[in-house]
Amino acid sequence: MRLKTILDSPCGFRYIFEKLLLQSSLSRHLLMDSPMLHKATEIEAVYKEFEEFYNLFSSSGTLRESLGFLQLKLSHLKDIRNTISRLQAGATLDDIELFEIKNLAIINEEVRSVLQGKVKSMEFEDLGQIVQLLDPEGLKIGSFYVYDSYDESLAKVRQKIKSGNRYSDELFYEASVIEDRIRKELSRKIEKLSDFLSSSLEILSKTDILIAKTLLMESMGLIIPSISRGINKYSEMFNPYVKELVEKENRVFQNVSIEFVSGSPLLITGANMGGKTIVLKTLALCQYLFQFGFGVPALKAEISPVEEVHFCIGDFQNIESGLSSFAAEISRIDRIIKSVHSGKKILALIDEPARTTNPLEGTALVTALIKILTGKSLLMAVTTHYNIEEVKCIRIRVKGLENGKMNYKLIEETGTKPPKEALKIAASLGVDNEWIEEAENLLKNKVE
Amino acid sequence: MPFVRELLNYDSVSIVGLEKNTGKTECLNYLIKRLSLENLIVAVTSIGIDGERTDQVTQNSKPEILLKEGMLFGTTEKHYKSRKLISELLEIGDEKTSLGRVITAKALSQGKVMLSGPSSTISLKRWMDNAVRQYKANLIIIDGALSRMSLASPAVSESMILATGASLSANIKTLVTKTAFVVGLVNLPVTSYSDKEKLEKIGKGVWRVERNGEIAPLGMESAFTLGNVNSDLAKGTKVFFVSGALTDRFMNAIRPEAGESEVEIIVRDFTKIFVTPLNYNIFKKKGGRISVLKKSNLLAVCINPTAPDGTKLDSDTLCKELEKEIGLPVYDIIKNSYEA
Repeated sequence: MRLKTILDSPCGFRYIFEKLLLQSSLSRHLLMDSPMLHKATEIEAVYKEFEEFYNLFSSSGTLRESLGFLQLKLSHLKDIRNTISRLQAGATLDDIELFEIKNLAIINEEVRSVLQGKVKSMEFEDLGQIVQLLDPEGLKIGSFYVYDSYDESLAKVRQKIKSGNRYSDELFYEASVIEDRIRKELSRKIEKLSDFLSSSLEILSKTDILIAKTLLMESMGLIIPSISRGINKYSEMFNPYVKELVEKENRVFQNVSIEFVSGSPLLITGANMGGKTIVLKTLALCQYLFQFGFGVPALKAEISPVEEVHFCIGDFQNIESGLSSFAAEISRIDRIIKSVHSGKKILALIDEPARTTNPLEGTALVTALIKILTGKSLLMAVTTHYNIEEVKCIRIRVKGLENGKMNYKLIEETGTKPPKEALKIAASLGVDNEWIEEAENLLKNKVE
Repeated sequence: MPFVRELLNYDSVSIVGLEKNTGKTECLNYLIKRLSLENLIVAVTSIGIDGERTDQVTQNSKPEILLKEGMLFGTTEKHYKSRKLISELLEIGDEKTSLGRVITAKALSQGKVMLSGPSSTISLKRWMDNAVRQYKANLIIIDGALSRMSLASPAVSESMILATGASLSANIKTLVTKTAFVVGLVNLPVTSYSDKEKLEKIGKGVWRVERNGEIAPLGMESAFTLGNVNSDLAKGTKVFFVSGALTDRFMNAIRPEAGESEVEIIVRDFTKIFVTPLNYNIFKKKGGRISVLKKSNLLAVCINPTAPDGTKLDSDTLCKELEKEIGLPVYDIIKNSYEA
């Protein structure tokens, strides 16, 4: 799975992505095409590199002062992969393509001069030879043409062109024959070094991405998580998007701590508007951030790599395929079960499964789902309003209303009955009194 | 030739043709020929007609411009590759036009090149700013595309040259009337309203300007969404500011007001005016006026008395008739080789 496929996932990955200050559109493309990492060793290597960048470029880092210079240079980085392929296919490059290659080589040399030796985990290519080929007069500027100094005869013809008063087709023809020969020779010389060009493009855009990730980490207060096995544990986890919204209204976002282990599904209950869905969204977001090597929004986090993230939330109604929201949801959950049976390591986050059907059967479906997935190798968190009593599982709930204010803290739940706060919360929204009172009466009668 | 000297007072000039084959390119070649480059860095580019059919038809028949050594030029990849001069490639832009990216280069010899360029006035403005900042250009000449009056906006180029001719109309009288209408718009006076900056900052909508200088929105997104115009709101208003396009519909809607006393409509510049000559004339006769926040500097009107269909008007008569109507000198640069 590539990053672009989860960009518009309801977990809100795009918000994070758009906050990345990438300098070049090539970096953006490469990042979007980057695959999700599954292996702990891969993720570890990526974070090791990232940590080194962070230490060098964060506000206390030794290379912080060079940040502006590097960003400026990287902003001129162009996607010239086509040009390089043409070169490798034996084509003779024209002035525009040679200009592009010269530009890449110069950017490479400038970035290398700052980072070589400082970044231990990355090796920069030496493109000095290409700069020399394309800047034969040592002018140290990015512009390009087939310079006079490439060939004496070219210089002579051009002298004739310049001294003549009138435009002459013959002289131009003569010059262009020599120019073509030079371009051909240059192309073949550069072709021999083309692997370095490709690798330079990759390394430079990687540098761009790592710098952007560093700045994001700093501005959002993210951390590098540790890699665990079979457990996801977050302390003081927050959702950057919701946090920004809340803080815009001068309120404080309440961080939450949560942990769950493989084989023991976690059941989250709690009042409406208690932030259960946000917790699931954030868990999904964190998992993706982790497996794409980003900083994670928490004070501390231990995350277990998985092969698939199943995030079921909201209305699945799919008019085109003729499925009702219930049918669509059930078949998505069925995919989770199939995935688990196939032996894949997965993370499943399900928001109020079977909520659109009657509570009796809904409760049975959720209870059964937890029952059959307990003991299986998957990390799972499920939110629900149903009373799931016939199965043993880890239960937590949102603390709920306290003096008319919502406490979003997640606490251990000892009972099985879901909290009854819906009426209180509905009343606090200021809806019609008669309606709420009538509902209260109905409930009282039932209890009696 | 007087207008070349006058041109040196400005940082930029656009050459706008009222119709195809009105001699825009000859005009540009003439300017380049006459400009002395000793103490001047001149940059030329064009504006593409991105995506329009005419472009696909004319792209290859676009005439070449003869550049002098030392000039900067902006053209697209396709045309850069077919250049007939020695030139140093300075920069490749990010914008992709239908003819490729825009190349900025410097002529190292004299020679010919086909000009094409940025595809929108915004990207053209960006190119111009860059030419000044990066390459110290003192004068930028823009070869206008057909039906792209917007680039003659004073927000883009400081001055303009208008090209007209027999391909606009084979009838001298019609040709003169049509050209004079455009010249009349270009020469509209700057408004006497004192706080021009305040109006310039307005993003959209139609506004009324009170006698005490206060402004109030008329509740219209633009002059196009006139459907719900509140005639009471307009009543008694003497001065209107239209931040976007000024349309016939809007002008007609407030025309009854114009009968009683003078009504002034302020627009950003003449390129925002999209009214027909007929409507404008009635509005004027009833005492209405249009004024602008920024005035264009029309340097000259050039004519091409021949049209591709074989029409050939008498150059001297056309020049004389047009001069009489617009009160400005008119040149036929193809026929006459004016002295510098």
